[in-house]
Amino acid sequence: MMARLARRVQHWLRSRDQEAALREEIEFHQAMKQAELERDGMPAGDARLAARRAMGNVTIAHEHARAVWIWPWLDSVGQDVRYAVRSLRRQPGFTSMSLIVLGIALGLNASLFTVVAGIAIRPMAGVHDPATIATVSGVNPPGLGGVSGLSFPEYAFLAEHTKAFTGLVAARTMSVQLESEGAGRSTAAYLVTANYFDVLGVQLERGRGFVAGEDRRGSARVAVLSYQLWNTHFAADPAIVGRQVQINGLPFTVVGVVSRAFVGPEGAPHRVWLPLSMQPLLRPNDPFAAQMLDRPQDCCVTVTGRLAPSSTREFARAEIQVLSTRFRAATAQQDRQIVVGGTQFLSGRRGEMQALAILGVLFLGITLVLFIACANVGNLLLARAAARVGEIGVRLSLGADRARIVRQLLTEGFVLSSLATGIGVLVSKWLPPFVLGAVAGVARPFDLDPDRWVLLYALAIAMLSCVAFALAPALHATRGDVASAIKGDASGLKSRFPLRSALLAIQVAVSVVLLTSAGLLLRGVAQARILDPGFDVDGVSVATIGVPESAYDAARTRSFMDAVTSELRRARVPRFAFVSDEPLGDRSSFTAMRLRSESEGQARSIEFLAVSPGFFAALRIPILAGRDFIDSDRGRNVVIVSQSMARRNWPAGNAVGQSFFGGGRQLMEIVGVVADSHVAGMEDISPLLFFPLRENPGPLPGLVFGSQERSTAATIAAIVERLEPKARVEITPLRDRLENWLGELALAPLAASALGAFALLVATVGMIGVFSYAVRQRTREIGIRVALGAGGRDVIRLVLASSSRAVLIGLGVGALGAIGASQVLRSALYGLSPLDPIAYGAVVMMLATAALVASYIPARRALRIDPVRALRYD
Amino acid sequence: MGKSSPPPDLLPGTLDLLVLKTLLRGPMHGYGIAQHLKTTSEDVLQVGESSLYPALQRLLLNDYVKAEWGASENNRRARFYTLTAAGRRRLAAEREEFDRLILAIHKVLAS
Repeated sequence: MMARLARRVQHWLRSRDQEAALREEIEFHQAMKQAELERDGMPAGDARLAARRAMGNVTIAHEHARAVWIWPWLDSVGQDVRYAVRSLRRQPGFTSMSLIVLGIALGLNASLFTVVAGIAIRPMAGVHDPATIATVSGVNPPGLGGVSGLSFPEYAFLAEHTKAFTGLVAARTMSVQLESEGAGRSTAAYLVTANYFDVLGVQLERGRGFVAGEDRRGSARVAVLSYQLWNTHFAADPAIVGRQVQINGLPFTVVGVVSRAFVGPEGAPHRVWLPLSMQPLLRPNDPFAAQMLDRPQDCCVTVTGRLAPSSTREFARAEIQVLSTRFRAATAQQDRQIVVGGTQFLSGRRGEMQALAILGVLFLGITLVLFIACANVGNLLLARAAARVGEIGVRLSLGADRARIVRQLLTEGFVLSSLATGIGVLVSKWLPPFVLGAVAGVARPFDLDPDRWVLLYALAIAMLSCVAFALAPALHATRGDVASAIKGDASGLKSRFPLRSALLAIQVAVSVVLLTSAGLLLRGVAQARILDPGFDVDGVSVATIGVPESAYDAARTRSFMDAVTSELRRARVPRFAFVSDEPLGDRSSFTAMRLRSESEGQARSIEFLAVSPGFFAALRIPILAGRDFIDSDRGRNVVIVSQSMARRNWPAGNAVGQSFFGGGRQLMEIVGVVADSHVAGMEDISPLLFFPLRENPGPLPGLVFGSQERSTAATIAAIVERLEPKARVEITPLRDRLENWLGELALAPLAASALGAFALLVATVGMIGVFSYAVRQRTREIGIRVALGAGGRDVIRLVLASSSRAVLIGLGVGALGAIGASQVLRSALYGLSPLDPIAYGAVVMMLATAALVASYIPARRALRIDPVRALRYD
Repeated sequence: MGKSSPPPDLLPGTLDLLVLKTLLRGPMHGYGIAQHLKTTSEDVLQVGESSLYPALQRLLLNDYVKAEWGASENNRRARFYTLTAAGRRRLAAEREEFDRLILAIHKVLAS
């Protein structure tokens, strides 16, 4: 079949040669004939005429010969396409509706594919030979799940001994402050080993990468900028190389700018690269930063490497596994499994698995919408095929090839899906940059232009959807028994073939799932709005104080806090305290804890805040037992626990005075129990520890105070800036932070609602199609009923009854699906029941309304039918 | 459709069979094929060009024959047709089918 097609096409392409050949051949034939006649003794002139006569009509011979190749085929395809377009134009409203709906659904699908392709599938850009770059990570113990990087000493060991990699690099993300950034703003920095640029073969726009030795302690402070940062922050200064920039208050010399394409192996865009050894200098107040380069049990650096020419990922994995086992045995750590992966964004690290899950859910939703859009087109074609049962029956009985008729019906689907693909590609070109840019606020870090893969993908799903949804109606329509078909009676098909009803039920069910999910998410946001955070939101503000971090070690941080405290007391600022992670901020800290009765292996991770005395009073969080921290706690290992923490571990209510292992493995005594609150996050409440800030130094904490007055804010800013001229202060009322958070929270439900609304529209269009079909099929019956005095309501009831079972089944199945989906959404519901009756009720109402509207439109048309004409319909 | 059907002077499909059989003797041009059919059938089968050339094109399309330019016996350029392997198989199959058909017709006529 394919070979024949190929020969046809070949022939068609060379048609001029072929024509000439045929002409020459026939002329030759004529000449031979003439010669033969002459040989038999006929005069030359007569012989030519006789030869001509014997030939018959040369042009017809020509035509016939040519027809074998092209005509029936090309001509019939053209005919099919013309016929398809013509017959689609006969139902302009429904055709264009289905087309737009299918186009948008395809566009949504292609958009998502564009994003996934841009983020996840495309190999790392801006480096030499990305195919031989691989990441190395370790599988976490079952309790933690996912994978993580390796400790720096383990990396160093592997880098020294590996033969499967020609080079291994280590990197670590840290947020830093550039000189001109305000308090609370930060820039993503990537702290890397000096071989980073060489091993990855990073293309540079200007200057150089790091050279050997620049990651040694005490070496010169150098930085490489991203192309983006160079443009936005330094106005693409051509003399950037050699210029000094202040990072966390330390001067760094810019030695290079990477090429525009390079965003780093993490996929997430980093903006400045610094040597890994700069970590303790940038954060003198962070004991972890100072120690991690030497401690084999600390987590961790991201390890990436260049595979040796003879090596593969499997081989590298095996080798690294052996080395890792050796290293971990030598440092008394449990062995763990090593994973060697690609550089794509979604190659299995933890946060990225989450992104994968979100994309997966989104993909499912969008595919479902595509599915119902396709079901629409299927129904359209089915209805049309049924309307043409008579015609098709006649053609079949006259001996028409069934394959030929199926092909013609498929052509209609093909024409529809080709047009829809056009719309879809337009949508996918415009939508992703818009959504990422305007809605999610992400500057375009990735290449999001639909490329040929996206086009191919769109085309492929369009063709698939066409075949899937046009083939069934086509086969169906040509299967009917010829005798009843000729009579134009489609009803014989109906009972045997509930395809139309099934498609309708699917549409309804999918709409229910999507709409219910959207409804639940929206209600979840409303729920979050009335959620009691458990602390005072309206009378409290947060001051974020930015100081050059490199200049603040633990001692200076402490004395600065003391100075601020006494100045604020003197200025009579009400209810203030310091806290490590600001309420409603984006940072949280975790530590390990275990009870005295538990072994070290049973240690678990728990969230904590380090606070200064007065924190609970400032936020009006009730102290249920015991007391707040006091100055005399200095030097003691004391801790305050949240109510849920106390209840879980000391159910007898005697938590105060108990002790457990926490933080740095020392025994901590509980001095107080406070009420549960959302101070560490608005998600579900989980057990929480509070450490005294003085004993747990960290980067400069935030300041909370019990006032929203501008004058108080100004006083605080003035005090801080007098004590540290380089400090920058940013003060926001907690209420504003809460509103911000709610605003961000509403984005996902809004997107879900848009998708749900679209699904509803698609389903309504589908229902209109099915109901119109039902009306057309029963025109005669309706005519009789109207003639006998039936009113509009009766007709609508009749139309609705024709498909009510499908709609009801769809509602039921959809509700079950929605209950399943709601379990997944539970965490985003903020305490709302996943079976929230309002959300479910609203969706059922919406679909019922849609069904009414969808039946009303064709029913009204049916009512206008002249009964006399309707009766004469056959 | 129906544009390409040859004049019904032969049973449909028979001409293809005869052309294939003729080519079994070796490469031949269109005129040669027509001559051969005419002489071997003792002038019963006068194949018109308006059916011969479409038939040849049909065989080309199905890859049963292939065509090459060569010199004819009087040194004119002519297109020679050669049987392909697929053509041989087709010939065998068609021949069997044809024999069955003829036998059937005989039986009916003899009854």
